Amino acid sequence: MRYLRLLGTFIRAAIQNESAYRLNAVMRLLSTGLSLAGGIGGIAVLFQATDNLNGWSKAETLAVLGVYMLVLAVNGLVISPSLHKLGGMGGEIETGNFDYTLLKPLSKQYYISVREWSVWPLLDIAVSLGVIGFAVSQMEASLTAAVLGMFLVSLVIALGLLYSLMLLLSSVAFWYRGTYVLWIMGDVLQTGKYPVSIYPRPVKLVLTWVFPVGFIVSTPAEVLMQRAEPVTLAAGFLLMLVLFAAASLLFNRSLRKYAGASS
Amino acid sequence: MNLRGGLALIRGQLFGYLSEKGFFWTLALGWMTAPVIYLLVWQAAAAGGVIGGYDRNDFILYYLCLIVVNQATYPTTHWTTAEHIHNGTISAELLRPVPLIYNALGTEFAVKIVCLPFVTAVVTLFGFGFQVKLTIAADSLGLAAAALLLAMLLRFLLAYAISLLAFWTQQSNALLQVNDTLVFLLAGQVAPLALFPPGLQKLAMQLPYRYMASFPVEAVLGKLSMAEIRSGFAVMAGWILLLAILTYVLTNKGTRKYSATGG
Repeated sequence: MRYLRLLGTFIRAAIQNESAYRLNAVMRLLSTGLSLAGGIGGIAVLFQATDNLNGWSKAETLAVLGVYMLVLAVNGLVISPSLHKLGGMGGEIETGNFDYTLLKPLSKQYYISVREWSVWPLLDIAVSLGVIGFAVSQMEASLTAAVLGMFLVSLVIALGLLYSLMLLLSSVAFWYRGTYVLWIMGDVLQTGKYPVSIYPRPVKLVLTWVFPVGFIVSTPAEVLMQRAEPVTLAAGFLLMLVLFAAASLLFNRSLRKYAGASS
Repeated sequence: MNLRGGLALIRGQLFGYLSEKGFFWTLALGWMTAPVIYLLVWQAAAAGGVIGGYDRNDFILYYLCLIVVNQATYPTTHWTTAEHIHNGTISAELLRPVPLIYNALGTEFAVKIVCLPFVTAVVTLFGFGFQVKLTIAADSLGLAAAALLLAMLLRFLLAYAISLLAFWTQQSNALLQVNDTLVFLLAGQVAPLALFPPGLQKLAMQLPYRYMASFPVEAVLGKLSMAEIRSGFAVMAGWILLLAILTYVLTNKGTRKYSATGG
Protein backbone atom coordinates (compact mmCIF):
# COMPACT_ATOMS: atom_id res chain seq x y z
CA MET A 1 0.00 0.00 0.00
CA ARG A 2 2.74 2.40 0.98
CA TYR A 3 4.57 1.43 -2.19
CA LEU A 4 1.54 2.37 -4.30
CA ARG A 5 1.19 5.72 -2.54
CA LEU A 6 4.84 6.47 -3.30
CA LEU A 7 4.17 5.76 -6.95
CA GLY A 8 1.54 8.54 -6.94
CA THR A 9 4.05 10.94 -5.41
CA PHE A 10 6.65 10.18 -8.06
CA ILE A 11 4.18 10.78 -10.87
CA ARG A 12 2.93 14.06 -9.36
CA ALA A 13 6.48 15.36 -9.11
CA ALA A 14 7.07 14.55 -12.76
CA ILE A 15 4.02 16.53 -13.87
CA GLN A 16 4.98 19.55 -11.79
CA ASN A 17 8.49 19.45 -13.17
CA GLU A 18 7.37 19.35 -16.77
CA SER A 19 4.77 22.12 -16.52
CA ALA A 20 7.54 24.68 -15.97
CA TYR A 21 8.66 24.67 -19.61
CA ARG A 22 5.82 25.55 -21.94
CA LEU A 23 7.61 26.15 -25.23
CA ASN A 24 9.31 22.81 -24.72
CA ALA A 25 5.83 21.27 -24.46
CA VAL A 26 4.75 22.58 -27.84
CA MET A 27 7.96 21.23 -29.33
CA ARG A 28 7.32 17.85 -27.76
CA LEU A 29 3.94 17.70 -29.52
CA LEU A 30 5.66 18.57 -32.77
CA SER A 31 8.29 15.93 -32.12
CA THR A 32 5.68 13.21 -31.55
CA GLY A 33 3.85 14.23 -34.74
CA LEU A 34 7.04 14.18 -36.74
CA SER A 35 8.21 10.80 -35.56
CA LEU A 36 4.76 9.41 -36.34
CA ALA A 37 4.89 10.91 -39.83
CA GLY A 38 8.40 9.56 -40.27
CA GLY A 39 7.50 6.04 -39.22
CA ILE A 40 4.42 5.83 -41.42
CA GLY A 41 6.14 7.68 -44.27
CA GLY A 42 9.06 5.28 -44.17
CA ILE A 43 6.72 2.31 -44.52
CA ALA A 44 4.70 4.05 -47.24
CA VAL A 45 7.82 4.73 -49.33
CA LEU A 46 9.00 1.18 -48.82
CA PHE A 47 5.72 -0.40 -49.90
CA GLN A 48 5.44 1.84 -52.90
CA ALA A 49 8.34 -0.13 -54.27
CA THR A 50 7.21 -3.59 -53.22
CA ASP A 51 4.03 -5.05 -51.76
CA ASN A 52 5.58 -7.83 -49.78
CA LEU A 53 8.68 -7.67 -47.61
CA ASN A 54 9.84 -11.21 -46.82
CA GLY A 55 6.22 -12.24 -46.29
CA TRP A 56 5.06 -9.13 -44.43
CA SER A 57 2.30 -6.98 -45.89
CA LYS A 58 1.96 -3.23 -45.40
CA ALA A 59 -0.71 -3.50 -42.70
CA GLU A 60 1.35 -6.08 -40.81
CA THR A 61 4.49 -3.95 -40.93
CA LEU A 62 2.40 -1.03 -39.68
CA ALA A 63 1.26 -3.17 -36.74
CA VAL A 64 4.91 -3.86 -35.92
CA LEU A 65 5.59 -0.12 -35.98
CA GLY A 66 2.63 0.44 -33.62
CA VAL A 67 3.87 -2.14 -31.14
CA TYR A 68 7.38 -0.68 -31.40
CA MET A 69 6.05 2.79 -30.57
CA LEU A 70 3.97 1.42 -27.70
CA VAL A 71 6.87 -0.48 -26.11
CA LEU A 72 9.16 2.50 -26.56
CA ALA A 73 6.59 4.84 -24.99
CA VAL A 74 6.14 2.66 -21.89
CA ASN A 75 9.90 2.41 -21.65
CA GLY A 76 10.17 6.20 -21.85
CA LEU A 77 7.36 6.66 -19.32
CA VAL A 78 9.16 5.13 -16.36
CA ILE A 79 11.73 2.39 -17.05
CA SER A 80 14.23 4.45 -18.99
CA PRO A 81 14.09 7.67 -16.92
CA SER A 82 14.40 5.74 -13.64
CA LEU A 83 17.28 3.56 -14.72
CA HIS A 84 19.11 6.40 -16.45
CA LYS A 85 18.99 8.30 -13.19
CA LEU A 86 20.84 5.37 -11.67
CA GLY A 87 23.40 4.32 -14.24
CA GLY A 88 23.20 6.84 -17.07
CA MET A 89 25.42 9.82 -17.81
CA GLY A 90 25.64 11.97 -14.69
CA GLY A 91 23.60 9.30 -12.91
CA GLU A 92 23.74 8.55 -9.21
CA ILE A 93 26.42 5.89 -9.45
CA GLU A 94 28.68 8.40 -11.12
CA THR A 95 27.96 11.38 -8.90
CA GLY A 96 27.83 9.42 -5.68
CA ASN A 97 24.29 10.54 -4.87
CA PHE A 98 23.45 6.86 -4.70
CA ASP A 99 24.61 7.12 -1.06
CA TYR A 100 21.31 8.81 -0.23
CA THR A 101 19.28 6.37 -2.27
CA LEU A 102 20.75 3.49 -0.30
CA LEU A 103 19.59 5.11 2.93
CA LYS A 104 15.92 5.16 1.88
CA PRO A 105 13.85 2.72 3.97
CA LEU A 106 12.34 0.69 1.12
CA SER A 107 13.20 -1.98 -1.39
CA LYS A 108 16.15 -0.70 -3.41
CA GLN A 109 15.20 -2.42 -6.62
CA TYR A 110 11.62 -1.14 -6.43
CA TYR A 111 12.72 2.40 -5.71
CA ILE A 112 15.32 2.69 -8.46
CA SER A 113 12.92 1.12 -10.98
CA VAL A 114 9.90 3.38 -10.55
CA ARG A 115 11.02 6.64 -9.00
CA GLU A 116 11.41 8.80 -12.12
CA TRP A 117 8.50 9.42 -14.50
CA SER A 118 8.23 11.33 -17.71
CA VAL A 119 4.84 12.72 -18.71
CA TRP A 120 5.08 13.03 -22.47
CA PRO A 121 5.22 9.34 -23.35
CA LEU A 122 1.54 9.16 -22.29
CA LEU A 123 0.78 10.99 -25.51
CA ASP A 124 3.01 8.57 -27.41
CA ILE A 125 1.10 5.64 -25.89
CA ALA A 126 -2.18 7.06 -27.17
CA VAL A 127 -0.70 7.64 -30.63
CA SER A 128 0.78 4.14 -30.79
CA LEU A 129 -2.56 2.59 -29.82
CA GLY A 130 -4.09 4.55 -32.68
CA VAL A 131 -1.50 3.14 -35.10
CA ILE A 132 -2.10 -0.41 -33.86
CA GLY A 133 -5.88 0.03 -34.18
CA PHE A 134 -5.54 1.38 -37.71
CA ALA A 135 -3.21 -1.45 -38.73
CA VAL A 136 -5.58 -4.07 -37.34
CA SER A 137 -8.52 -2.51 -39.19
CA GLN A 138 -6.55 -2.90 -42.42
CA MET A 139 -6.01 -6.61 -41.84
CA GLU A 140 -8.42 -9.27 -42.97
CA ALA A 141 -8.57 -11.22 -39.73
CA SER A 142 -11.07 -9.87 -37.22
CA LEU A 143 -10.11 -9.24 -33.62
CA THR A 144 -11.61 -11.49 -30.93
CA ALA A 145 -11.44 -11.14 -27.16
CA ALA A 146 -9.13 -14.14 -27.01
CA VAL A 147 -6.65 -12.53 -29.40
CA LEU A 148 -6.78 -9.30 -27.45
CA GLY A 149 -6.11 -11.21 -24.23
CA MET A 150 -3.15 -12.98 -25.80
CA PHE A 151 -1.88 -9.64 -27.07
CA LEU A 152 -1.92 -8.22 -23.55
CA VAL A 153 -0.06 -11.28 -22.25
CA SER A 154 2.57 -10.90 -24.96
CA LEU A 155 2.94 -7.21 -24.10
CA VAL A 156 3.52 -8.01 -20.43
CA ILE A 157 6.21 -10.49 -21.48
CA ALA A 158 7.71 -7.88 -23.79
CA LEU A 159 7.88 -5.23 -21.09
CA GLY A 160 9.23 -7.73 -18.57
CA LEU A 161 12.02 -8.63 -20.99
CA LEU A 162 12.79 -4.99 -21.67
CA TYR A 163 12.88 -4.08 -18.00
CA SER A 164 15.13 -7.01 -17.16
CA LEU A 165 17.57 -6.10 -19.92
CA MET A 166 17.62 -2.46 -18.88
CA LEU A 167 18.23 -3.41 -15.25
CA LEU A 168 20.98 -5.78 -16.30
CA LEU A 169 22.70 -3.08 -18.31
CA SER A 170 22.35 -0.45 -15.59
CA SER A 171 23.86 -2.82 -13.04
CA VAL A 172 26.93 -3.02 -15.25
CA ALA A 173 27.46 0.66 -14.44
CA PHE A 174 28.46 -0.38 -10.90
CA TRP A 175 31.40 -2.31 -12.32
CA TYR A 176 32.43 -0.16 -15.28
CA ARG A 177 31.87 3.45 -14.47
CA GLY A 178 31.59 5.83 -17.38
CA THR A 179 30.53 3.29 -19.99
CA TYR A 180 26.94 4.09 -20.72
CA VAL A 181 25.82 0.67 -21.87
CA LEU A 182 22.20 1.72 -21.30
CA TRP A 183 22.42 3.78 -24.47
CA ILE A 184 23.05 0.62 -26.46
CA MET A 185 19.58 -0.62 -25.57
CA GLY A 186 17.85 2.35 -27.17
CA ASP A 187 19.84 1.85 -30.36
CA VAL A 188 19.31 -1.90 -30.51
CA LEU A 189 15.58 -1.44 -29.92
CA GLN A 190 15.36 0.64 -33.10
CA THR A 191 15.74 -2.57 -35.09
CA GLY A 192 12.23 -3.41 -33.84
CA LYS A 193 10.70 -0.81 -36.17
CA TYR A 194 10.60 -3.56 -38.77
CA PRO A 195 9.75 -7.25 -38.29
CA VAL A 196 12.93 -9.09 -37.26
CA SER A 197 12.34 -11.79 -39.85
CA ILE A 198 13.23 -9.40 -42.69
CA TYR A 199 16.83 -9.16 -41.46
CA PRO A 200 19.61 -11.51 -42.62
CA ARG A 201 19.82 -14.72 -40.61
CA PRO A 202 22.74 -13.92 -38.25
CA VAL A 203 21.19 -10.54 -37.35
CA LYS A 204 17.86 -12.22 -36.78
CA LEU A 205 19.35 -14.79 -34.41
CA VAL A 206 21.03 -12.09 -32.33
CA LEU A 207 17.79 -10.11 -32.23
CA THR A 208 15.88 -13.14 -31.01
CA TRP A 209 18.14 -14.58 -28.34
CA VAL A 210 20.80 -12.03 -27.33
CA PHE A 211 18.81 -8.78 -27.49
CA PRO A 212 15.31 -10.28 -27.75
CA VAL A 213 13.84 -7.50 -29.87
CA GLY A 214 11.91 -10.22 -31.66
CA PHE A 215 10.05 -11.19 -28.49
CA ILE A 216 9.67 -7.57 -27.45
CA VAL A 217 8.19 -6.17 -30.67
CA SER A 218 7.59 -8.75 -33.39
CA THR A 219 5.87 -11.38 -31.24
CA PRO A 220 3.07 -9.12 -29.94
CA ALA A 221 2.46 -7.98 -33.51
CA GLU A 222 2.33 -11.60 -34.68
CA VAL A 223 -0.20 -12.34 -31.95
CA LEU A 224 -2.42 -9.59 -33.35
CA MET A 225 -2.13 -11.15 -36.80
CA GLN A 226 -2.98 -14.52 -35.26
CA ARG A 227 0.23 -15.90 -36.67
CA ALA A 228 2.11 -16.48 -33.43
CA GLU A 229 2.56 -20.01 -32.19
CA PRO A 230 1.95 -20.73 -28.48
CA VAL A 231 5.49 -22.15 -28.34
CA THR A 232 6.91 -18.72 -29.17
CA LEU A 233 4.98 -17.10 -26.33
CA ALA A 234 6.08 -19.81 -23.93
CA ALA A 235 9.71 -19.39 -24.99
CA GLY A 236 9.42 -15.64 -24.49
CA PHE A 237 7.91 -16.14 -21.05
CA LEU A 238 10.72 -18.50 -20.04
CA LEU A 239 13.36 -16.11 -21.34
CA MET A 240 11.72 -13.32 -19.36
CA LEU A 241 11.83 -15.34 -16.13
CA VAL A 242 15.50 -16.19 -16.65
CA LEU A 243 16.48 -12.62 -17.51
CA PHE A 244 14.48 -11.14 -14.66
CA ALA A 245 16.09 -13.48 -12.15
CA ALA A 246 19.55 -12.80 -13.58
CA ALA A 247 19.01 -9.03 -13.57
CA SER A 248 17.68 -8.96 -9.98
CA LEU A 249 20.56 -11.13 -8.84
CA LEU A 250 23.17 -9.00 -10.57
CA PHE A 251 21.65 -5.76 -9.28
CA ASN A 252 21.58 -6.92 -5.67
CA ARG A 253 25.07 -8.35 -5.98
CA SER A 254 26.28 -5.08 -7.53
CA LEU A 255 24.93 -3.10 -4.58
CA ARG A 256 27.70 -4.62 -2.50
CA LYS A 257 30.25 -3.42 -5.03
CA TYR A 258 29.17 0.20 -4.66
CA ALA A 259 31.65 2.22 -2.64
CA GLY A 260 30.60 5.83 -3.07
CA ALA A 261 32.05 8.21 -5.60
CA SER A 262 33.96 10.88 -3.71
CA SER A 263 37.46 10.50 -2.37
CA MET B 1 39.80 36.13 -33.98
CA ASN B 2 42.06 34.39 -31.54
CA LEU B 3 43.26 31.47 -33.65
CA ARG B 4 45.93 30.29 -31.24
CA GLY B 5 43.36 30.09 -28.48
CA GLY B 6 41.10 28.08 -30.76
CA LEU B 7 43.83 25.59 -31.60
CA ALA B 8 44.69 25.21 -27.93
CA LEU B 9 41.04 24.41 -27.19
CA ILE B 10 40.97 21.76 -29.90
CA ARG B 11 44.22 20.21 -28.68
CA GLY B 12 43.07 20.15 -25.08
CA GLN B 13 39.75 18.58 -25.91
CA LEU B 14 41.28 16.11 -28.33
CA PHE B 15 43.56 14.71 -25.63
CA GLY B 16 40.64 14.56 -23.25
CA TYR B 17 38.51 12.63 -25.74
CA LEU B 18 41.30 10.32 -26.85
CA SER B 19 41.48 9.03 -23.30
CA GLU B 20 37.79 8.09 -23.53
CA LYS B 21 37.94 6.35 -26.89
CA GLY B 22 35.80 3.44 -25.74
CA PHE B 23 32.98 5.74 -24.73
CA PHE B 24 32.93 7.50 -28.08
CA TRP B 25 33.16 4.32 -30.04
CA THR B 26 30.10 3.03 -28.19
CA LEU B 27 28.34 6.24 -29.16
CA ALA B 28 29.48 5.96 -32.77
CA LEU B 29 28.16 2.41 -32.95
CA GLY B 30 24.82 3.73 -31.70
CA TRP B 31 24.69 6.48 -34.32
CA MET B 32 25.30 3.83 -36.93
CA THR B 33 22.29 1.69 -36.06
CA ALA B 34 19.59 3.71 -37.85
CA PRO B 35 21.32 3.73 -41.27
CA VAL B 36 22.30 0.07 -40.83
CA ILE B 37 18.65 -0.85 -40.21
CA TYR B 38 17.55 0.94 -43.38
CA LEU B 39 20.43 -0.65 -45.26
CA LEU B 40 19.18 -4.09 -44.26
CA VAL B 41 15.54 -3.23 -44.97
CA TRP B 42 16.22 -1.78 -48.42
CA GLN B 43 18.59 -4.50 -49.51
CA ALA B 44 15.83 -6.98 -48.62
CA ALA B 45 13.29 -4.93 -50.58
CA ALA B 46 15.58 -4.56 -53.60
CA ALA B 47 16.39 -8.28 -53.74
CA GLY B 48 13.78 -8.56 -56.51
CA GLY B 49 14.99 -5.78 -58.81
CA VAL B 50 15.74 -2.09 -59.30
CA ILE B 51 13.78 0.47 -57.21
CA GLY B 52 13.85 4.12 -58.27
CA GLY B 53 17.17 3.73 -60.08
CA TYR B 54 18.84 1.89 -57.19
CA ASP B 55 19.65 -1.83 -57.32
CA ARG B 56 20.71 -3.89 -54.31
CA ASN B 57 24.39 -3.01 -54.69
CA ASP B 58 23.51 0.70 -55.00
CA PHE B 59 21.41 0.62 -51.84
CA ILE B 60 24.20 -0.99 -49.84
CA LEU B 61 26.78 1.47 -51.18
CA TYR B 62 24.43 4.39 -50.58
CA TYR B 63 23.87 3.49 -46.94
CA LEU B 64 27.50 2.61 -46.24
CA CYS B 65 28.54 6.05 -47.52
CA LEU B 66 25.68 7.62 -45.60
CA ILE B 67 26.96 6.10 -42.34
CA VAL B 68 30.35 7.77 -42.80
CA VAL B 69 28.88 11.10 -43.95
CA ASN B 70 26.32 11.07 -41.15
CA GLN B 71 29.09 10.50 -38.62
CA ALA B 72 31.24 13.21 -40.16
CA THR B 73 28.48 15.81 -40.16
CA TYR B 74 26.69 14.93 -36.92
CA PRO B 75 27.35 17.71 -34.42
CA THR B 76 27.54 16.67 -30.79
CA THR B 77 27.93 19.98 -29.03
CA HIS B 78 24.46 21.43 -29.43
CA TRP B 79 23.14 19.26 -26.62
CA THR B 80 25.90 20.33 -24.25
CA THR B 81 25.73 23.99 -25.27
CA ALA B 82 21.99 24.08 -24.58
CA GLU B 83 22.52 22.21 -21.32
CA HIS B 84 25.27 24.61 -20.22
CA ILE B 85 23.08 27.63 -20.90
CA HIS B 86 20.24 25.96 -19.02
CA ASN B 87 22.25 25.18 -15.90
CA GLY B 88 24.57 28.17 -15.98
CA THR B 89 27.91 26.42 -16.45
CA ILE B 90 28.39 28.41 -19.65
CA SER B 91 29.54 31.29 -17.44
CA ALA B 92 33.04 29.81 -17.33
CA GLU B 93 33.18 29.53 -21.13
CA LEU B 94 32.03 33.13 -21.53
CA LEU B 95 34.99 34.31 -19.48
CA ARG B 96 37.56 32.82 -21.84
CA PRO B 97 39.29 35.31 -24.18
CA VAL B 98 38.05 33.48 -27.30
CA PRO B 99 34.69 33.70 -29.10
CA LEU B 100 32.05 31.48 -27.52
CA ILE B 101 31.71 29.33 -30.63
CA TYR B 102 35.34 28.13 -30.29
CA ASN B 103 34.39 25.89 -27.38
CA ALA B 104 31.84 24.09 -29.52
CA LEU B 105 34.12 23.97 -32.56
CA GLY B 106 36.99 22.55 -30.52
CA THR B 107 34.81 19.73 -29.26
CA GLU B 108 33.42 19.06 -32.73
CA PHE B 109 36.88 18.64 -34.23
CA ALA B 110 38.02 16.45 -31.37
CA VAL B 111 34.99 14.13 -31.53
CA LYS B 112 35.34 13.81 -35.29
CA ILE B 113 39.02 12.96 -35.11
CA VAL B 114 38.27 10.31 -32.49
CA CYS B 115 35.22 8.76 -34.17
CA LEU B 116 35.78 8.90 -37.91
CA PRO B 117 38.63 6.37 -38.28
CA PHE B 118 36.67 3.89 -36.20
CA VAL B 119 33.48 4.33 -38.22
CA THR B 120 35.35 4.13 -41.52
CA ALA B 121 36.94 0.87 -40.42
CA VAL B 122 33.60 -0.64 -39.43
CA VAL B 123 31.98 0.47 -42.70
CA THR B 124 34.84 -1.05 -44.71
CA LEU B 125 34.28 -4.34 -42.92
CA PHE B 126 30.56 -4.16 -43.75
CA GLY B 127 31.48 -3.49 -47.37
CA PHE B 128 33.56 -6.66 -47.53
CA GLY B 129 30.82 -8.55 -45.72
CA PHE B 130 28.22 -7.57 -48.32
CA GLN B 131 30.74 -7.96 -51.17
CA VAL B 132 29.82 -4.62 -52.73
CA LYS B 133 31.14 -3.53 -56.08
CA LEU B 134 32.58 -0.04 -55.87
CA THR B 135 33.28 2.28 -58.79
CA ILE B 136 33.88 5.95 -58.11
CA ALA B 137 34.97 8.62 -60.59
CA ALA B 138 37.81 10.88 -59.48
CA ASP B 139 36.02 14.16 -60.22
CA SER B 140 32.88 13.15 -58.33
CA LEU B 141 35.14 12.29 -55.39
CA GLY B 142 36.50 15.83 -55.36
CA LEU B 143 33.03 17.37 -55.58
CA ALA B 144 31.75 15.10 -52.84
CA ALA B 145 34.64 16.06 -50.57
CA ALA B 146 33.76 19.73 -51.01
CA ALA B 147 30.08 18.96 -50.41
CA LEU B 148 31.01 17.02 -47.27
CA LEU B 149 32.98 19.92 -45.77
CA LEU B 150 30.10 22.33 -46.42
CA ALA B 151 27.63 19.77 -45.04
CA MET B 152 29.58 19.60 -41.77
CA LEU B 153 29.46 23.38 -41.50
CA LEU B 154 25.76 23.60 -42.38
CA ARG B 155 24.62 20.92 -39.96
CA PHE B 156 26.72 22.35 -37.16
CA LEU B 157 25.48 25.91 -37.70
CA LEU B 158 21.80 24.99 -37.65
CA ALA B 159 22.06 22.88 -34.49
CA TYR B 160 24.26 25.49 -32.80
CA ALA B 161 21.86 28.32 -33.62
CA ILE B 162 18.98 26.31 -32.14
CA SER B 163 20.91 25.54 -28.98
CA LEU B 164 21.59 29.28 -28.55
CA LEU B 165 17.83 29.82 -28.35
CA ALA B 166 18.13 28.43 -24.82
CA PHE B 167 19.31 31.95 -23.85
CA TRP B 168 15.66 32.98 -24.21
CA THR B 169 13.69 29.79 -23.59
CA GLN B 170 15.86 28.13 -20.90
CA GLN B 171 15.26 24.72 -22.49
CA SER B 172 15.77 23.97 -26.14
CA ASN B 173 16.03 20.19 -25.88
CA ALA B 174 12.73 19.44 -27.59
CA LEU B 175 13.49 21.81 -30.44
CA LEU B 176 16.84 20.10 -30.93
CA GLN B 177 15.05 16.79 -31.01
CA VAL B 178 12.65 18.08 -33.67
CA ASN B 179 15.65 19.23 -35.66
CA ASP B 180 17.30 15.81 -35.37
CA THR B 181 14.09 14.09 -36.48
CA LEU B 182 13.87 16.38 -39.51
CA VAL B 183 17.44 15.55 -40.42
CA PHE B 184 16.59 11.89 -40.08
CA LEU B 185 13.51 12.17 -42.32
CA LEU B 186 14.66 14.64 -44.95
CA ALA B 187 18.38 13.97 -45.27
CA GLY B 188 17.93 10.67 -47.05
CA GLN B 189 18.22 8.28 -44.12
CA VAL B 190 14.76 6.71 -44.29
CA ALA B 191 15.13 6.30 -48.04
CA PRO B 192 17.16 7.93 -50.82
CA LEU B 193 15.38 11.13 -51.83
CA ALA B 194 14.95 9.77 -55.37
CA LEU B 195 12.30 7.45 -53.95
CA PHE B 196 10.23 10.19 -52.29
CA PRO B 197 6.93 11.33 -53.84
CA PRO B 198 7.62 14.27 -56.22
CA GLY B 199 6.04 17.00 -54.05
CA LEU B 200 8.00 16.06 -50.96
CA GLN B 201 11.13 15.65 -53.01
CA LYS B 202 10.87 19.23 -54.30
CA LEU B 203 10.41 20.54 -50.78
CA ALA B 204 13.37 18.52 -49.50
CA MET B 205 15.61 20.00 -52.20
CA GLN B 206 14.94 23.52 -50.88
CA LEU B 207 15.27 22.77 -47.16
CA PRO B 208 18.75 22.61 -45.62
CA TYR B 209 18.38 19.02 -44.41
CA ARG B 210 19.15 17.19 -47.62
CA TYR B 211 22.49 18.96 -47.85
CA MET B 212 23.55 17.66 -44.42
CA ALA B 213 23.89 14.03 -45.45
CA SER B 214 22.45 12.72 -48.67
CA PHE B 215 23.82 15.36 -51.06
CA PRO B 216 27.50 14.38 -50.66
CA VAL B 217 26.54 10.68 -50.86
CA GLU B 218 24.57 11.12 -54.08
CA ALA B 219 27.43 13.18 -55.48
CA VAL B 220 30.10 10.57 -54.75
CA LEU B 221 28.00 7.75 -56.20
CA GLY B 222 27.51 9.73 -59.42
CA LYS B 223 23.72 9.88 -59.07
CA LEU B 224 23.57 13.61 -59.86
CA SER B 225 23.97 15.54 -63.10
CA MET B 226 26.34 18.51 -63.26
CA ALA B 227 23.39 20.94 -63.24
CA GLU B 228 21.93 19.29 -60.13
CA ILE B 229 25.28 19.50 -58.37
CA ARG B 230 25.64 23.17 -59.24
CA SER B 231 22.17 24.12 -57.98
CA GLY B 232 22.80 21.98 -54.90
CA PHE B 233 25.92 23.93 -54.00
CA ALA B 234 24.04 27.19 -54.54
CA VAL B 235 21.21 26.27 -52.16
CA MET B 236 23.75 25.04 -49.64
CA ALA B 237 25.80 28.24 -49.76
CA GLY B 238 22.64 30.30 -49.28
CA TRP B 239 21.65 28.40 -46.14
CA ILE B 240 25.17 28.55 -44.69
CA LEU B 241 25.33 32.30 -45.17
CA LEU B 242 21.90 32.79 -43.58
CA LEU B 243 22.71 30.58 -40.60
CA ALA B 244 26.12 32.15 -40.08
CA ILE B 245 24.53 35.58 -39.79
CA LEU B 246 21.81 34.19 -37.51
CA THR B 247 24.39 32.53 -35.25
CA TYR B 248 26.35 35.78 -35.03
CA VAL B 249 23.27 37.76 -34.05
CA LEU B 250 22.03 35.16 -31.57
CA THR B 251 25.43 34.91 -29.87
CA ASN B 252 25.64 38.68 -29.50
CA LYS B 253 22.12 39.26 -28.21
CA GLY B 254 22.05 36.07 -26.17
CA THR B 255 25.24 36.66 -24.23
CA ARG B 256 24.07 40.16 -23.39
CA LYS B 257 20.75 38.86 -22.14
CA TYR B 258 22.30 35.97 -20.20
CA SER B 259 22.47 36.11 -16.45
CA ALA B 260 23.23 33.26 -14.10
CA THR B 261 22.00 32.92 -10.56
CA GLY B 262 23.56 31.21 -7.60
CA GLY B 263 27.18 30.25 -7.19
